[in-house]
This record gives sequence, structure tokens and C-alpha cells, in this order.
Amino acid sequence: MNSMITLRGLNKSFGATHAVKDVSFTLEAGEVHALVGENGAGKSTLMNMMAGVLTPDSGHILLQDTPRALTSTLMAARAGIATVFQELSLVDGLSVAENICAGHAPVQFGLIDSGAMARRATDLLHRLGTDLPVWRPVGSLLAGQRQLVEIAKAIGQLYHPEAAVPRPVRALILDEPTSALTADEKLRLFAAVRELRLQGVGIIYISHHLSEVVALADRITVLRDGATVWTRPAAGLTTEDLVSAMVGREVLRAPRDEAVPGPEMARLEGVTRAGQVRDLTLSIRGGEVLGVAGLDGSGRETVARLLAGVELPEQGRITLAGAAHPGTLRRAMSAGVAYVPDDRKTLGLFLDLSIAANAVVTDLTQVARAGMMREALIHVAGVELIADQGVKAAGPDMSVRSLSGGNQQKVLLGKWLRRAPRLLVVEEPTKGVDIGAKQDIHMRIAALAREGAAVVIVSSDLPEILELSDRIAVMHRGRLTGIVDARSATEESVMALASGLVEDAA
Amino acid sequence: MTDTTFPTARRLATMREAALLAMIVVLVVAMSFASPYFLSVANFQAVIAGMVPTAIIVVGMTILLVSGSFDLSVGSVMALASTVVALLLLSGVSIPLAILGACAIGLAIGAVNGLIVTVLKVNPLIATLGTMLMARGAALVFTEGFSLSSLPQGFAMFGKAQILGLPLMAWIMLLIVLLGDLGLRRTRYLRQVYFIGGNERAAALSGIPVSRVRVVCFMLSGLLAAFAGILLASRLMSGTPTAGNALELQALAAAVIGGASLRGGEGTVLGAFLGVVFVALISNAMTMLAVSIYWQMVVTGLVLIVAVAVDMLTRSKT
Ligand SMILES: Nc1ncnc2c1ncn2[C@@H]1O[C@H](COP(=O)(O)OP(=O)(O)OP(=O)(O)O)[C@@H](O)[C@H]1O
Ligand SMILES: [Mg+2]
Repeated sequence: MNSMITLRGLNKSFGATHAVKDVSFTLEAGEVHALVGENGAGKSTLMNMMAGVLTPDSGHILLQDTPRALTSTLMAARAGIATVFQELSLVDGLSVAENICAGHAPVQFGLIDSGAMARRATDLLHRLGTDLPVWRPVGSLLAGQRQLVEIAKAIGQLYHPEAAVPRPVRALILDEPTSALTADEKLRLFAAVRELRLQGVGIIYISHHLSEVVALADRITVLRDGATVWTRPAAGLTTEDLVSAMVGREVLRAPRDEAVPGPEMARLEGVTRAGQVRDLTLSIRGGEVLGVAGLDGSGRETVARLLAGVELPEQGRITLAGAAHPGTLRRAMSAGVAYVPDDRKTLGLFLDLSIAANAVVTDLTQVARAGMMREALIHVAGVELIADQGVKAAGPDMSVRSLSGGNQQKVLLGKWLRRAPRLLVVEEPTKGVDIGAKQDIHMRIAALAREGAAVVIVSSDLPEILELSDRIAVMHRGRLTGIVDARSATEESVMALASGLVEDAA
Repeated sequence: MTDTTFPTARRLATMREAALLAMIVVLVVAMSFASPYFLSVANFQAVIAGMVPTAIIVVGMTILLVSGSFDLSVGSVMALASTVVALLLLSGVSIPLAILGACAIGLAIGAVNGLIVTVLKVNPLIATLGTMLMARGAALVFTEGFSLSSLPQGFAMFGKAQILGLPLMAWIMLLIVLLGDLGLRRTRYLRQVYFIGGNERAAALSGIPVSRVRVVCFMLSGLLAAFAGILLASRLMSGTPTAGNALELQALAAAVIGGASLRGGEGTVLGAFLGVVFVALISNAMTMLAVSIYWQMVVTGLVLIVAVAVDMLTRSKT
């Protein structure tokens, strides 16, 4: 057999954490090989070794049966392995085209040929079914669009224009590529992946969306606590099979009971922000979970930012529990508002600080006495957050950077839940979180609402919104096209409103 | 792997601080064999007197570095404050009022730096480079380039008065360093600086008043620079518009040697102070060994690069 990539007995430890244990694995040309497992199972660590980011402690990586030492991402890329990392790594100040062509920009007479670069970027984005303006700075894009740019960049590395003959090894590693994509964007990504597979590219696909995995993969490998549970052909496997192999227990769905709407906690009245939202009127009551759904560019995330006080209305007004919104997040926080942004790396967390430090940042006075920090209290706060959110970590002094993606997400949520908010505004609550932890988070959010708090969920993940919400506000191009009862709504009925095809009178 | 850049009360000394302290001890021991004058009281006092302005200024610089910013205007502000205090004294203002006046100048320039950076969003390099030139220019304009001497005798106390064998100035320096270290390590207010330097956007989205804290840090830096200028004027008994040339770069270098980083989010006042001591001792050692003053700059630069390079290498290993 001539596998594209063969891993033999790979091991990797971080201090006392044995992240990858004796894993063997093959990737064939023209297959989609999915990698699943709980948060912290070792998926990202494994792919980081193939991508040249980490070097294995022991074991071998073979490319077409030849052992290779991949000591840098550049070396891996030259060998034909392109990677989309879990945490995005684009340069905000550069344009879409410059990011996509980074490292292999088309050159003419020693100068960058910007026309060719734009064509190349446009072309790659078309493969993913999107036509983003290629000269927009990446910093101004939405999370989903950034993710697409990142994927286009990786696909571009597989088709290096200077490589005359196709490389023997062409592997694409995708670590949670869909965590910020809308349903539509996902479908187009899957189509692109299938097309690459036909062209003989081997694809490693890491995801917590098990139904996507079952639909897309040819083979599936399950990791638990760093070790392989099994590798099987995907045909005939169900998501339940995957869950029981990943977790070793059954995952309960959060029981849902009827919302008991309390007093109004927040209200938007005729709110307008040019280019984002228009004449928006919305009321949120205590005791309910309100989902906000919409395509990219619908302004759904603006609703969250307005409620948080991060953006201000140009027209109209916002009230919190009857009083005028104070206009800054800091003051809104004193009124019981919590805001969980959608990008944990750039907006949410302090990666180089400890779990404990991240836990207390939203309320430093609580861990200080007479203006002096109390390290013991900070430590306790970290221990509590780890226990409450089920974070897989060696201890509260561990830096957040060294946590797995899903566990970072739990820290982000935990730092806000600690404040026992009255109005919780969350973007992408379970981004990168495994299926068991997802149910835990859903239960925690439901419990918060049942205790009388209002919760606003803004998410690109429609099934999640349907499952978690009591009511769903659907947006299209900055306008509210309807508010539907989540019990009677379906993905289709919400999508119809989101695409502006129908408009609800309400 | 436990890894926190927070200096906590529990972890009293970071690796960097311990390493610096060890190197200082080695240097002192080696020098006491190499030169009989090294351990003399006179040499000791000279080293300390020379160190005072940098050690005071480095406190503010370190806090700014941790917040992900820095202040190039400190050397000029020091010179300006020394001329302002001298001008006020010469025009008959009482000593306490003259000191207050010079401090106010430092605070004002700090506030201007902070507002330029936070409100106008000009980056700190350009903002403080601008005020650096302006403050130096103002000092030269006020004095027409000359030093201002014949200050009232009472003003000499900071340099002259001695307590337990150390000049008053040195005690003030130690007090400021101690308070600065405690402040940055322990107080709730300055702890916010580590979050701002770690991830400014996340800090703002966690409810930290980023702009306000930044302005306060710049004001603190300006105040400390002005205070250093007052002490200098007292020691020299003159206001010197050309004092503190390149002091901002020396303070930056010392803070970085002591563990602060231009990326922000890390550093301690104690480490930075040890950095100042280390650099001062090296210069002194070279003077003792009769090495040309010009070589001392070369060596300081070398120490800076070696310290940072060693740090980068040990870091990428983990
Ligand atoms: N640099 C590091 N230092 C210490 N521990 C680490 C480091 N990187 C990863 N780990 C640990 O290794 C384990 C595996 O992490 P990994 O990121 O591979 O998980 P994952 O399967 O990708 O999880 P997720 O689904 O949450 O992304 C975790 O326990 C994590 O805390
Ligand atoms: Mg991962």
C-alpha cells in the first residue's frame, strides 16, 4: 500500500499530560478521513504534528512510505500538507487576497503581481462558493468569512502555481472548519471538499458536528484520552456509534420545560445603525432564551453588540429593565449584563494568562480586599471555574493557551457565568465544544433562564438555536423579518425568513 | 505545565529576577577581587547616585511596557522638570511649591501622551517621540540652553542629607521602587495592566476601562520622570536642559533586561530595577578597569541583546 500519510506509534506529552498515546493512522489519496473525540482528546495535537507545529516525542511520520521529519509548517507545506488550524491565524491588516496568497504570491519581474494575486484569490474563493471582495482587510470580516478565507488559503497551498506536475502528496487538514459557518456556507464547503477528494487530495477532517462527519467522511477514527479507540469505514455508522466510542457513556439531551416569561429585561425600540440594522424593535423577557438567527450580513451579531453596549444605536433607544441603556459594556455589566463574544482568541481570552486570571478578570473587586489582590481568592476562583464548567486542565495556574480549543471555550463562558448575569448575551456559545459538553452548556443556559435571567443567543448554528431557544428572532439584511416560537419552528421555516423570502407580520 | 506571566505574591521572584540577582552577586564578587576600590564607600555612593534617575523612571516605564506601551519622553521630561523647578526657585517660589510645580508639568505631559495614544489613536512610539522633542525643546527655550545654577541652599537636601550612610535620594528611590513593585504585583488597579497588555480587545470586552488605565499609566510615568528631574536638580544644584539624553532608551533596555517585553503582558518592577542595577554595575566595573566610556555603550547593547535572545531561546523550548 502506498498511503499518502502514515503515522506510526506517535506519542506527545506536555509535562504530565500524555496528549497523544501511541497513535497509528493512515491517510489515503482521495479520501476524507475524519478525526473525532471529546475536547482534549488529542485531535489538534495529532494534526499539529503532521503540520510541523509540534514534533512527536516518539514514533514516525511517513509520507508515501518515506519517513520524514517535519520540523516546521513551511516544511510540511512544501511536502504538500496544507492546514487550517482551529484558531485562525490571518493577518487583520492585510487584504483577503494578500492573506490567501501569503508566502506564495504571484510575482512578475520580482514584484508582486497584484492583478494575478486578486485573480488567484477570487478563483480560490469561488471554489468555496463565495465572492468576498478580495481587497477588503481581513480585520473587517465576520468570523464565518474569515474561516472561508483561511480555508481558501490552505487549498491554494495545495495548488501551488509553480509546481508544474501535481505533487504526489496533497493533504488538507481541517481542524473544526465549520465552527463559525452558516448552514449555507457549510454546504458549499462540503461540495468543495468532495471536489478535492475527486482530484486525489487526502483530507483529514476534525469536527464535533457528528452528523456532518458521518455524511462527509469515508473513514472515521475515534480518539479518547489521546489513544485511538478504532478506525472504521463511515458507511453504516451512526452518530450514536461515534458518541458512545468517544465518551463511553450516553449523552442526555437537556430536558426542556415551558418558559415562564418574567418581566421585560431589555428592549430595543426602532434601533438603527447604518449598514448593520434598520428600525429594529425587540423585547426580551426574564426567564426566556431568545435566539437570533440570520445569514452573514443580516446584522444578527449587531443585536448582541448593541445589547452589550459595545456598539451604540444611531437612532432609536435601548432600555435595560426599564432604564435607559448606560451605553458602555462596563456600566451595563453593573446592571447585570454579560457578553460572550464569538472569537475567543482575539476577543475573549487572555491566552498567556492562567485559567484563574481569566476567571476573575470580569470582576477584579471580588478577589481584592482594600484594593489589594488576594491570590488565594484568585486561585479558588480558578478551581471553581474548572469544576463548574468541567474544564479538562492540570490546574488553575495552567495558561489558557495550553488548553484544547473546546476547553478554552468553557473558560470563556465560565468567566461570564461566574457573575450570575441577569441578561446573558452569547455569540456562538458552544463553538468547538464536544457533544457532551455542549449538552452541559445548554443545560446551564436553560437553568440560568429558569432562574429568571434573560438569555440572548446569537449563532450561525441553526439546529443549536432551535434546540436552545424559546423564541427565535430572524433577521434579513438588517431588518427583523419575524419572531417565531421555537417549538413550532423548523430549520426550513427559519431559513425562509432569514433569506427574506417570506416576512412574518409579527 | 504551569505557566503564568502574572507575578503573584506566591511566586516572589521570577526566573529572570533570580538570574539577574545571581549575576549581580557574581559581578560584585569578581570585581571586588579585580579592583581594590570597587567595594569602597565612595564608589558605592557614586554608583547609587548615578542610578537614581533611571531607577525611578524605570518604574513607570515597566508599568507602561506591561500594558503594551512605552514612553520615550521620560528623559526630556526629566530635563524639563529640572529646569522648571530651578526657574521657579530662582523666581522666589518656595521649595515645596516649586517641587509641586515641576511635578505638575510631568503629570500634564503624561496626560497629553495618554490622550494622544487613547483618543487620537496615535501609536505610543510616535506620540511620545513627539512629546520627547517638544519637552526637550521647551527646556532649551526656557533656559536658552544654559544650566540654571545658584539655587537656594535648602534645596540641596535630597542630595546632601544622609540617613544610615545613604543619601536621602537613594532612600526615596528605594521607596518608589518598592511601592511600584508592590503596586504592580498586588493592587487591583494596576493588575488591570497585565490584562490590557495581554489582550487589549479582550480587556475592553471584559469591562476593563482600558483608555482610562492607559492615561493613568502615562501620567504616572510623566510624574516619576519629573520627580527624577527634581532630584537631579537637587544633586547638581542646577537645572540642566540637556540632562537625561537617551535615558528613555536606557530605561527601556533595563526593563527588558529585567524581564519586561515590548509585546506587553509581562514584566515586574523588581526585575526592571535589578536590570538598572546590573547595567550600572557593569558600567562601573568597566570604569574601574579603565575601559573607555565609549565601550560601555557597546557592552550595554550587547547585554540587552543577549538577555532577550536567551529568553527567547529558553521560551521556545517549552
Ligand atoms: N502547549 C500545551 N501545554 C500543555 N498541555 C497542552 C498543550 N497543548 C495541548 N495540551 C493538552 O493536551 C491535551 C490534548 O489537547 P488537544 O488540543 O489536542 O485536544 P483536542 O482533541 O483538539 O480538543 P478540542 O476538541 O477541545 O479542540 C489537552 O489536555 C490539552 O490541555
Ligand atoms: Mg482541538
